[in-house]
Amino acid sequence: MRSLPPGILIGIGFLLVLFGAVAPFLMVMHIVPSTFTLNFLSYAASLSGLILGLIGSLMYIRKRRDR
Amino acid sequence: MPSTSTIARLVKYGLVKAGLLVITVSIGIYLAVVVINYGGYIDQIFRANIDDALGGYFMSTDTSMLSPDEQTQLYEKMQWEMEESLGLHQPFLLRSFRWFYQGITFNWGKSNAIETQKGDSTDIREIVLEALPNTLLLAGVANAFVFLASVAVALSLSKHYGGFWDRFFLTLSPLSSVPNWIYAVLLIVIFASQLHLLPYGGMYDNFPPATKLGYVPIVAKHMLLPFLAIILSTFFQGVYTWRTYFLIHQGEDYVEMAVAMGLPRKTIDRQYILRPVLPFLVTNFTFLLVGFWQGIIVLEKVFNWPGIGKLFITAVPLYERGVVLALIVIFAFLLAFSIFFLDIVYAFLDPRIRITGEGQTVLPVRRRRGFSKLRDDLKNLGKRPAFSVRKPERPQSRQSTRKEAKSPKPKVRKRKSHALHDFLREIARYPLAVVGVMIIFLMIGVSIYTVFAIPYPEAVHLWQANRPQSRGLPENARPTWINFFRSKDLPPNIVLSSQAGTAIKKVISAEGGVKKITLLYSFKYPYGDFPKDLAIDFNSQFTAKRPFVTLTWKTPDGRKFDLGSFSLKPLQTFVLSQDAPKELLDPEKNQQKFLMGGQGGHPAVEVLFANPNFEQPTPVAGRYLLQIDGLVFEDESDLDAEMILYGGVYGLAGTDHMRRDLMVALLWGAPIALAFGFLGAIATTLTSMTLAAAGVWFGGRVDQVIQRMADINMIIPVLPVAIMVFYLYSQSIWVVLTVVVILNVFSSAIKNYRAAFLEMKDAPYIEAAKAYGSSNWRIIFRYMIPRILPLVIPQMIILIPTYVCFEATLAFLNVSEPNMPTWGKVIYDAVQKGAFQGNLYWVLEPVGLIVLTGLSFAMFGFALDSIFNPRLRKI
Repeated sequence: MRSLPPGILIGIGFLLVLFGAVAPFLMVMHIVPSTFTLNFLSYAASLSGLILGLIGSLMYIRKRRDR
Repeated sequence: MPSTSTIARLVKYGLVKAGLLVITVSIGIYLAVVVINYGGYIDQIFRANIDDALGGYFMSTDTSMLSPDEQTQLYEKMQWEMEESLGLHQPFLLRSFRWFYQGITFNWGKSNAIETQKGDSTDIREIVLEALPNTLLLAGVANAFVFLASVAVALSLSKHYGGFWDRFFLTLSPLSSVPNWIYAVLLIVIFASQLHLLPYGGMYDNFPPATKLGYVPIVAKHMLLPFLAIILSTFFQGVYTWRTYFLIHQGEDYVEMAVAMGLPRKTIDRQYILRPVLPFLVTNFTFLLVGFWQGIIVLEKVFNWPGIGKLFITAVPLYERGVVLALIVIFAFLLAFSIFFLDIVYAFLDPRIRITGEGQTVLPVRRRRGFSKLRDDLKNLGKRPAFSVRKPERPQSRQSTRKEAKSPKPKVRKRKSHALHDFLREIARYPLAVVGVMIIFLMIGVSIYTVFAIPYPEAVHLWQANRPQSRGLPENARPTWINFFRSKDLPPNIVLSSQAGTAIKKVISAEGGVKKITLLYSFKYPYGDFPKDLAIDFNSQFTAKRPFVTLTWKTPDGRKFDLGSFSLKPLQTFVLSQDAPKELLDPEKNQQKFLMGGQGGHPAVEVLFANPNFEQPTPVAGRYLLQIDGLVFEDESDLDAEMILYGGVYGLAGTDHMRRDLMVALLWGAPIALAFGFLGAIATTLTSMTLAAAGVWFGGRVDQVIQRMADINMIIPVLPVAIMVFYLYSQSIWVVLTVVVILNVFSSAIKNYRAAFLEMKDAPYIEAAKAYGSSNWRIIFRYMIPRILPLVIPQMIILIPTYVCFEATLAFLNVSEPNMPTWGKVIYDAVQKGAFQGNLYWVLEPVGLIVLTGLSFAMFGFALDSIFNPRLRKI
């Protein structure tokens, strides 16, 4: 994680967060069945995406300052 | 690349953390099982349900072929079998463990009163699985937006520190002290009630779309207002917090030192910048999530969003033990996952955490720079003109003690007055804080006035539903000041009484004891709108022969209306909307073109007041007359009456659907909210601080017990527990407050205080106090706690609006004493009785007061934080 550039971290975070929002939407529309595994997975993705994005943002701000 | 041993240690650390969390979750859920069962009360409900079901069965089934004894035997056998199927014959301990096992294995059984939206199943798993994605959808989208937007804005603000937008967002940050459901109400008023742009609530339209993709715009449209409410309540605080910490960590001395030492940039980034600041941000984010799960329950209730929060609110009053347990388990699992994930992130981020072979996180024993910095800052605070912090007492020699005793007291007083003066001058630098303090003092003044002017028993009496004295008040009348903003004035209440002398009474005696009594009610009506209704309360005295009355209405333009003739009962009321003669509502007879035009009044009232020559319903201005011609037939008989013309406006606050003056609730809401806020915040802060200090000082098992309780508490959602306590245990709001305080004592704050106390535990002055023979509690109360008070006071002030809003939240969920007039209760009644359709004053007045109170404390608290917190003073 530490060796990844901030842009990649933010990107991964964004994708996870996106999954955390899209998965429940698909369940709400009954496109995929609602299961506890998928529900918890979407919550986990959302949470970890946010944290990764946060770390990426902080690394980015530091880089920008150094420049 | 980390070495193999590091990965192995990390895996072990993760497993140990997961194990501890499983134990914590298990204890939390078992406690919830015990609470939910209410010491056997739920069992009694189940037994009563079985009796009802059996009673129904025996009523509908022909059992005449059985003897009475056989019928009794059959009844008892069926009863036993049904009780056995519910496990009611087992000891409670056994049952509670069985429920606990069923709870954590998601085997929740079937619900008695709740079913899926399609109505095809009562299986609790299916009910929860239907509601859970709805909540996660709302949470996922809102969290993602809050995070992305607030981090982006915070980054930009930290770059343009001190600019217009920086100050703008700083000013708006107290907005986050108001809970999301308050914003939800305001947004409904604006976008649904007034602009008709978005739906009031729900998740779908009335008619399903043609394709599944058609759900996307429908759900998005329904989600917009709840989403905006979440944004408003979290966005500004997020921006403020993150921008502040971006600024702090950019300018740390040790970063500059590392640069000066010529360390590689990557090392500086990792070890000196990210690691110190990330734990705080991650922790902050965790608490945001925990708070979010509390808030979502109320938000779903406001918007009728079919998620797990709304399901919980529905299930508790129905004593749906299975559903409540299921939702507690879901809440606990979600929160436990958050904590586990953050523990793992901590292991990467926090430089103070060492991962031992046993997977324990330990803090290095040596004193770190953090404490010395804090100590220096606190020392320096005393030298600054801002305010002074009392230095902790140190052991002194007898000589110095004597010297101090002889020192002149006025000097001390002078120093104190200087400190106060400096503090006030510092506060004056924050205009919003000054406004906040003024509002707080105003609220306190109003509260004191209210307590003396309307003593609590009187307020409760005035707030009782269906009080006979309320009959004279109009229903849903707006506040009088609303006429300032209207082109057509609404009429006030007009009350005229023959007994009170505000009506003319003429008595003419005739032969045989017969008297003709004429009552004349004359009044000016210059208003541009119609009254709501007309009522006449008769008070007649007679023995056998009932008086006979004829009612005539005369308009300013000379028209006459016959309102009816009838014999009176002793106490009779004539209400025009109910008792108007049919002829009055006949359009042809009365030449009225707009009988159902309705501007708030009943059509019959409009007939009496409207100008027939106008196309639109418009009252004729001028003097009206109600004439009551009565005949009494006995010598002792008499007749009096009171005319009430129900107006469209009443008092400064208006009235509600039960004709209660809202001013009573708005006034009494202030002392109740402030009492709730002050008591809750002070009790929580002081108890948390004392327990944290005791845990750190005594260490060992004491500290372990306190920390484990805090861990368990973190996975127990406070609001659901408060709701359960109210419905299952006590209908007293103060008992609920006590439970909430106890739960909050073991919240995140206790961990923060522990961290602060750990910093000072090995300080020289503490060592000196110990050597001098000070007792443990003296060290805790005299040397440890006073040291962190300057940092705690702002947090306590900021906590007050949380409790104020919590009281309103509980009342809004109908978790409140029935006759206690509070702001939340007014909002609850208003939303339940359709205030969004035309009676906005009803909902906006209490919402405005809650927002005002919340903001005032938040503005003051944030300013105090900036003054007292040495890290924030730098920026």
